[in-house]
Amino acid sequence: MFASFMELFTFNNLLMINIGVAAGILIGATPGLSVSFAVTVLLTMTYHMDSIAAMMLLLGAYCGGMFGGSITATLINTPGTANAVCTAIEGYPLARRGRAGDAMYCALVSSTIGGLLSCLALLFFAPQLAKIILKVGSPEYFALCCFGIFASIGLEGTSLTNILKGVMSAAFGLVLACVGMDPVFGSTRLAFGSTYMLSGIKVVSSMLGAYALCQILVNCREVIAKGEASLRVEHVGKRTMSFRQFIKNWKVIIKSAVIGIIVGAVPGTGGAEAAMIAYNEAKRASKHPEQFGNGSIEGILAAETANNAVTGAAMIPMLTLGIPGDTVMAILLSALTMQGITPGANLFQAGSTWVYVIMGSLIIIYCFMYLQGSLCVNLFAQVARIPQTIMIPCIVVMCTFGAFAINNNIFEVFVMIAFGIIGFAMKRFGFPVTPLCISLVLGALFETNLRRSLILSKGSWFVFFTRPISCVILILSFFMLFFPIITNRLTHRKIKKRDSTQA
Amino acid sequence: MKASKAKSDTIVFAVLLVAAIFFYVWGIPSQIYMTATAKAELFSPDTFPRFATLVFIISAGIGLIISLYSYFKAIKEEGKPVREKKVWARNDIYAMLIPYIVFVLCVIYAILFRRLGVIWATALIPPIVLFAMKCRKWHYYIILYAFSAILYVLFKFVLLVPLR
Repeated sequence: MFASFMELFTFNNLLMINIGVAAGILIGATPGLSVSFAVTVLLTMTYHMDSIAAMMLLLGAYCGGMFGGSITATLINTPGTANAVCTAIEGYPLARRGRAGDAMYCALVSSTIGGLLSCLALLFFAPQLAKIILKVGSPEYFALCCFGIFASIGLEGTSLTNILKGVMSAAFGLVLACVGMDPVFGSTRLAFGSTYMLSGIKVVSSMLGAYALCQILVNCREVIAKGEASLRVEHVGKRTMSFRQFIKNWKVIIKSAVIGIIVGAVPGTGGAEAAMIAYNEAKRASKHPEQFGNGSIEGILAAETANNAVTGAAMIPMLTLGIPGDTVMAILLSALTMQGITPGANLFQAGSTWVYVIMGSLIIIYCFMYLQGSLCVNLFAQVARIPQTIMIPCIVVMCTFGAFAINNNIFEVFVMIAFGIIGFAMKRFGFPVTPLCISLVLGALFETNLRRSLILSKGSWFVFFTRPISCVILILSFFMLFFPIITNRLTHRKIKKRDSTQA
Repeated sequence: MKASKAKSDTIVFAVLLVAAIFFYVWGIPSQIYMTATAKAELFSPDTFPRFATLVFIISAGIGLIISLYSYFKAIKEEGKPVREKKVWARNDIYAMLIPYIVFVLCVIYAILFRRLGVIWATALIPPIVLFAMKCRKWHYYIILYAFSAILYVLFKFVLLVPLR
């Protein structure tokens, strides 16, 4: 393990970490561009890189992007990413009172602490889970794939119509995952006569389209309709709070980190959910709940600690089961596969240095993120001042070059463009994009394990319910699918009851 | 408001339902070639795509019923949705069209990328995107060219991608 850690300390690796963190913070700080966008765009540059350096670049962008979202959230009340919504609620009022420096330093400290705690969780829990995973068969794998897909659907939908839209999105992803050669008989499936389609649809080009290009199409409408004046950034005020003052709130930090780790380890969830839960919990437990919404330091600490605590925890199912919990994990999974590394229990068993490289690099990344953040917060904030008008064509060029580089083939560029318009149409009609991407990634694993289980059980579907682990996971999956609707209904009923008693 | 939302959902679900049925009946049989051995299997190459398409069809069907129900319920409560006469300013129409213009420009960029090569395609299309964004500042065009040149050098000479 020590030798693996030492492998990280080369000039190239440390440089890649710093580039990744800086790029992640810059992209995260840009309104409208998400963490998944940062990782996807940088992924296109890693094809020819050394595998450790490539992963460090991507992980740096992932962690940096999680923090970057809080910069514009604080300065212009525009969360750079969905994770920073709660930060905007508290950070912006502080910035308006001239305490932007405090708000941003607070976000930086809590992001670093949350991230480091989640690295420790990854270090301790992932190997233990990997030992159990070796005993798992194909019905359990199928159930886990269901869990990943159902969770991504459930968390996007608050009404039955939304759930149905999510199911349709996931089913579309599963059909797209069938394109190419059948894994058992080698028959051509849904290739529409194209030789390029025989190798299937590449996850990277599809995600580049569904996230990056789609976001460009949305942003260009915003720029023309509303103009860019609303995105002007104020100058960052100097911080007045000391490190000790932040640490006084250690209870909020620890509680939020635990929430972030638990939420992050569940496939289908993400930083936004973790931040929201931790923020609500901090408000509930606070001695000064009236400060929430008017610039509460506790609120920023809770939201930022939780959304960064997701980073390490989200890797637990990805590294041990090969199941990505969210879009960024799906992109990182494809990056690992491209480097010839297959995530799963064997990754822990074969004496591979990979797991420790990832764990170690996360710790280093957070240290560098803290350094970069405290030195360059003001500089990073300038990115939000770059007009979207110039950003849009630059990103079009970057996406086109990146998609071409996947296979040195123009076909991937067309796939990227097609997914761009599909993603745009899906957003326009309220269909979630995440289930499509998750099922596109999990499609092959889902089909292979379903097929294997049915062959072993001679066609009996009861195989999934007679094995305890798979049965429990499937029940949990269905619960995850309908959980938001149930909680919504219960809340509505409570409000109605309260209103009727008041009347 | 509720009625117009339900109406748009109904149209979307209906269109997707028809498309999915068409794909199930025509697309899958014509696009999945199966040998006699594969056909005889319990889980043949078309089983999974058919299963996924069926899930799509059932969801679209249920969605259609629910949105129709909500539409009629909303009409009962609010009355038929009245189409508001909105005066469209030139900028509103352009804002509505700009994503499609950028999309078409991306397609042309990809075609030129193959036909003319990366340098000519990049010299022509991204500035048109910038122009379509109503940008009239000349120095933005220079920044765009400089950025594209840096990317070209990075991909071609550092990452060794065979750009033409």
